[in-house]
Amino acid sequence: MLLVVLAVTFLAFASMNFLGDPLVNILGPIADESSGPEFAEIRAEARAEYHLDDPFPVRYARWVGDLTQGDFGRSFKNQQNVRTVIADKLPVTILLMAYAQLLAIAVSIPWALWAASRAYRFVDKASTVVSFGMLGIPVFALVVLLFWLFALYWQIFPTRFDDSGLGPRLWSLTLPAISLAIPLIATYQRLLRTDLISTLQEDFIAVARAKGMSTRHILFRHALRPSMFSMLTVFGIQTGALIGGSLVVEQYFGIPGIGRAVIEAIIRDDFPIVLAVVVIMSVLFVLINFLVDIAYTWLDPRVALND
Amino acid sequence: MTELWLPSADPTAEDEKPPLALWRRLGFGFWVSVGWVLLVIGLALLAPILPLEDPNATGVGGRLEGPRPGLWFGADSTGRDVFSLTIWGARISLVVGFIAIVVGLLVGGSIGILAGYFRGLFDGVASFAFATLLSFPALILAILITTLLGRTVFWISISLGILAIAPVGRLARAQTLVFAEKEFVMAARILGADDRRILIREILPNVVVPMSALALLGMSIAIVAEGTLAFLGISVADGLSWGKQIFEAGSRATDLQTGPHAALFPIGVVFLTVLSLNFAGDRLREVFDAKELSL
Amino acid sequence: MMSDNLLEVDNLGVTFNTPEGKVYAVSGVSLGVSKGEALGIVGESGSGKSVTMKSIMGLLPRTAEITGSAVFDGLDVFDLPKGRRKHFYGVDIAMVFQNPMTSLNPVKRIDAQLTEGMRYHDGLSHSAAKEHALELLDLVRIPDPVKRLRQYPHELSGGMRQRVVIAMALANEPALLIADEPTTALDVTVQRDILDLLDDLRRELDMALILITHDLGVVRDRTDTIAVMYGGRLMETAPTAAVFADTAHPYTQALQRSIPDMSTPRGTQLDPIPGSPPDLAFAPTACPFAPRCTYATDECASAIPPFKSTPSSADHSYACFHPCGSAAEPAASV
Repeated sequence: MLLVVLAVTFLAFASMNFLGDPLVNILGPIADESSGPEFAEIRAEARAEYHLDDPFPVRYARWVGDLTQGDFGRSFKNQQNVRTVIADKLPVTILLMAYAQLLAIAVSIPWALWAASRAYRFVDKASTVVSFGMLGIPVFALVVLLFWLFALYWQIFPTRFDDSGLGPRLWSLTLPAISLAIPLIATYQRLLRTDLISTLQEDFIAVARAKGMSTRHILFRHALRPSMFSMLTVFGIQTGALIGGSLVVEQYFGIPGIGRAVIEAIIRDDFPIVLAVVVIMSVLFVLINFLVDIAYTWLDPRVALND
Repeated sequence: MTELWLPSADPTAEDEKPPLALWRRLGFGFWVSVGWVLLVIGLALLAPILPLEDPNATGVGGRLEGPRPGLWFGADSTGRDVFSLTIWGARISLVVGFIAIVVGLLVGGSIGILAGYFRGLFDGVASFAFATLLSFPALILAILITTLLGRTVFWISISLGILAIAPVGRLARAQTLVFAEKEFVMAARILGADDRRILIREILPNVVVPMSALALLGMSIAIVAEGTLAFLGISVADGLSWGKQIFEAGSRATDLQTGPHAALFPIGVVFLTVLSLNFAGDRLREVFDAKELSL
Repeated sequence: MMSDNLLEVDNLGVTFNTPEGKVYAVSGVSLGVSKGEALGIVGESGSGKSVTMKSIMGLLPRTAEITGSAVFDGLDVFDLPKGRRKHFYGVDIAMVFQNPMTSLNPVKRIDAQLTEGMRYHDGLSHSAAKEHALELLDLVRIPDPVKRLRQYPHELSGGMRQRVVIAMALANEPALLIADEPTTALDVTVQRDILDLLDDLRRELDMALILITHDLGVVRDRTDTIAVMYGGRLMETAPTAAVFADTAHPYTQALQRSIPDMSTPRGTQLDPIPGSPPDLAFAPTACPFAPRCTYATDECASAIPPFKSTPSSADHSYACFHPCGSAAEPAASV
């Protein structure tokens, strides 16, 4: 797993360095030798500052070494410390993604339980069609649609991000979080419903029914936990999609998170920021999937024995 | 729960009900979906010769004018014909989606099959590469590659194709692993077939079937990905595209409030197209999975 | 029929509507069991014995169509009053299932599974329920119950798990316990222990027991009455001793011959029953056993034999045109 993170950083760093001259990106047109000797000194300074004269492996090793110290380097453009930029923007992105996941789980689990306990009846089939439809709307179309409906037409949610306190912040993040949550809800609902239906065929469910336990008790206390494996696996994988979706959502709703920062950085060829975001997102992705692995042992005590 | 509630299997019952023809088994919804996708493709292909307004011509309709005969989807904030924009926008979306999935299938498919068949070191390296690619946030990877390679139709397609390599490769590898163990492959080997022959004659046909379902799903993913890039303003530099169209119509609150149709029509078209591709892909997968079980 | 029975099943029929058509799983079954008595239901798989009990337990899928009646202690089981229904199963009637490996929820500890019934039905507090759980484990003779309570099902052996399942069923002191092939999935060595346990518990707790099995030997020494089922229908019911001493139905006879017994001399050939159980996809029009029966005549293939009592005893009934011991016994079997 650590190896994968290392490979990701290497790939990102290598592509940044070999596809395009970093010096051009730092200095712009004056990086070119032909732009005149008067800039030679500036070029030399920049080369020295960013260690551009060192061979590639050395630069990579230094960059990774700095990373482990929490040093992401400096922006090519405005000399800002990348760490400050990230520390400034990461919290709101994490908040947004956590909010979306929470919403998705809070909606999809009751929905799946409701549908599974009415499996193959009309209402279940109808709800399956709805969840399939929810998967068909790309996030970029969804944000416009929801914004129009909820912020302009019905005017339930504010039109812009409000950072004046935790309450307003959460309230103004609700619509963006819903946009991110809708495809997640559909994905989770479909998986969980299928697994629940097969769990409900198990003997121990019949035993619980023979004990006279209520349907509610059986669904929540007996069927839910053994049915959550696929959903949990996908929870980890969907984090990747969530990161992509947060770029769109942050850009559209004007949320000052790292999604927006990375798009700006890409447009301005500000590689250190892009690299930092790629690394952080990959680490986050790997970390969440690691937590998912741990959660398996909580879901099923038998897993612990096999390890 | 599974006591003998169902009648015991009757071997003659199968003969009485002949299996439905493939096209019937795929169902009505499948053909509606395919019909819609073909309609969009047809319109996109024929766009230059159809009697459409120039999508870039401003002032064709009034500012944010509503739909009317002749201006079916209305006009956008600069008076361009939204219907024409949508049709022309389909061209880039579909081409990118198509090239991307072809690249993904060719590269990912062949790496996956070879890895699954030969195993060993090559498999280890390939599997590790897939895992690495998959742990990149996909969209950030796409942005990275397009930024570095350039924002042309070709490079955008390639970069989205690179994204498709890992998932396609994984599936191809898994499928190959299954089939490489099957009796007919063993039989072919005993009969003296060499690796190349086994791969092409025995493995490939069996891996291609599930891949075709993945192709449709993959195309929908690629279309969405291109739309997302365009929405963010980092797709094809000055081309028309659904994502860009929706962004332009939907990013200014006042425009969206006065003329939502300029955004809602392309949103509807994207929705139906993605839905159709997903649905058709899903049906294919279901039908072929069932067939595999009966093998 | 006797009306003082705890459970009285009358003319029960269960039909399943499947995509392939109707399946007549159970037809015309009438049974009774009185307080503290043990009834054995014997039959091959597919004979309808489990379906009969599941219909009483309300465990059949929605596709099942139930006719006839089942009355428990004056209550119509198929139409329980709403308030009664909430605390009926698990309190008045409890059930033990065939496979202890799958009868316990794999992700819940034993104590949670044991106590949930008492807490739900009797409103016991956490600590009171736990205390009762310990008593129950003691009752079903599980050693070291304190430790067992904290374990997960996969940490217990099959026999232990079945004891836990039995303890679970006893949690609310049911008046009737239904045990559906409780030993089929267990090792031969523990089968006997579990059966003896059930027998002892029935006496200790003065509880009625319905023991479902495919093995006549299992019910021989442990039940008061035996009902033999085949093809969804009742073949013979009689006091246990009469089933063996005065067998009326050829199917019962065939069942006896197909099982080994301590009294059969070594080396005796066991007689398996030729043929296979009937297809239940057709409404019954004949004796279901006729195609496999050595005594069958044309009559057996064209009409359903009525279920009637023997001349000697009102408790002994069977459904056959040519009962064993009658003149029709063929010499042809030589």
